[in-house]
Amino acid sequence: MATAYSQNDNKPLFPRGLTLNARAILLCLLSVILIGIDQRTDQLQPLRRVLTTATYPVGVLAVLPSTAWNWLSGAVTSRESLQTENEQLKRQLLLQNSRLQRMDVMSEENRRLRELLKSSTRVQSDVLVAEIMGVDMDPYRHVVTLNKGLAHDVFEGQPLLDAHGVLGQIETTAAMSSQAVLITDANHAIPVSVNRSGVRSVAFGTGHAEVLNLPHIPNHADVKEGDLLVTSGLGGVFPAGYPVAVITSIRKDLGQPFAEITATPTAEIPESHHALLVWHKLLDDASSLQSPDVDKTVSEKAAQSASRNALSATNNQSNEGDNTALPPTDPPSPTLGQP
Amino acid sequence: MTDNHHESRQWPLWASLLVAMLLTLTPSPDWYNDLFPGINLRPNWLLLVSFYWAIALPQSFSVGRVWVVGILLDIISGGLLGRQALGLVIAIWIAQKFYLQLRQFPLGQQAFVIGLLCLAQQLTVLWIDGATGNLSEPLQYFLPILSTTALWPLCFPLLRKLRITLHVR
Repeated sequence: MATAYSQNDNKPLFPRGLTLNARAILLCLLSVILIGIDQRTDQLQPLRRVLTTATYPVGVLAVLPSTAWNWLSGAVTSRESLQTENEQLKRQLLLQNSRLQRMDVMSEENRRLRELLKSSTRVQSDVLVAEIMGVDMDPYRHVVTLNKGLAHDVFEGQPLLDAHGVLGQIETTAAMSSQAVLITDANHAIPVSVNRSGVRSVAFGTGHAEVLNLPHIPNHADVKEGDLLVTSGLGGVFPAGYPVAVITSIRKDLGQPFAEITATPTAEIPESHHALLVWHKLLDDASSLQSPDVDKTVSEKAAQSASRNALSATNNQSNEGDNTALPPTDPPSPTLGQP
Repeated sequence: MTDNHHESRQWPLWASLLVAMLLTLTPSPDWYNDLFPGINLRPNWLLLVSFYWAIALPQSFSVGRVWVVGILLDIISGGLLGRQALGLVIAIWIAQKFYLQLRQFPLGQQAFVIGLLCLAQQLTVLWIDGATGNLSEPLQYFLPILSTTALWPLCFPLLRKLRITLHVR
């Protein structure tokens, strides 16, 4: 043991100028500064892009064992299970195709109706299938790496879907890969509307894979358990009309201005292996100018109704407060009346 | 590989760090996810390996290199730049302040120390996440301390063997 360590110990402790303490403190300061810059601005994005591209092979190496395992287990799947899977897929395809036939007719009808109303044409979107690399990301954030990057025209802020709903959006792009933040991340919020009643809100991630939080829906709003939330298209990141989550619980406390509402994402977030990257654009530029106004008035109305609601709630509270404060003043009147 | 014995020879050090990085990033196997759904028990591999090199070769592996490793982890795992790096630097800084004592400790005592260092690192990360509004389930931050402590008696002989047989210095 002693011989094993001895070779280096006769050298000066720190040949370079700075002592251990000085270097450590400098590095800590540097880290804090980096964290601050990274949190507040996106000025580090170019650096991040370069480094992510450079470290891409490490990610590939890390998922190699599980990829190989999946490939192996796929290679030895029995003929029967393949056949049953094939049958199932064929049935599914048939079903989807029949739905698509109606869809063509309906979208054409929709387009004509929209022309009549002179409203903006719906978005045209383009999709690309990306593979979610099995890299186990930071366990405290909901971030995944995709195997598509700048080379495939992926851009930051691009929406990401799976077969069942919205997964998240792209946060960082590198040459051959990109990182996406999921809607369940504690730092993510997505504008949604209730599909049934059109009530608008914002769904916040909570850090739990199964829970989204909708904090700004008034108590009296038309919302029920089991309602589907779809993207509202406000904010401009997500195209409108994609399913996001299903409402699981509503708690109305009349003392509070807003109901406590939670929802479960429809996308199968822990199980997803593939994701769809979406490019969307409004076909009609002139009318797209109109839509923000509409959105603004709607959101203004929502804000007004919300504030009105908050006001009435506080009024109720103050009335109640008055009521409790009144009784002491009431009793004197009978005593006055008695003489 | 054919380095002169008087030159510094460090590729096994970096190789061990790469392995630690890969172990940090590989997806947890399905049986684990079935057994402990949503529970993060993954040991802090990078701390284990960095701790060994920091007390065995304090001249060639110090806080500067640990910081680079931490930044790389932040890049690959998509966290804020500097988040893991700060935690690692603090842990290794403490380790290097006392490396002469730590070398003399029996294995169990070293494991206890690495548990404390892991706690320091996780608290740093917890603090950063709290300050930047990324906090989720505080309990999850402390479970890796148990597995990291438990794995030190396994990692130490392996890394020691690696260092002695390959003449790393």
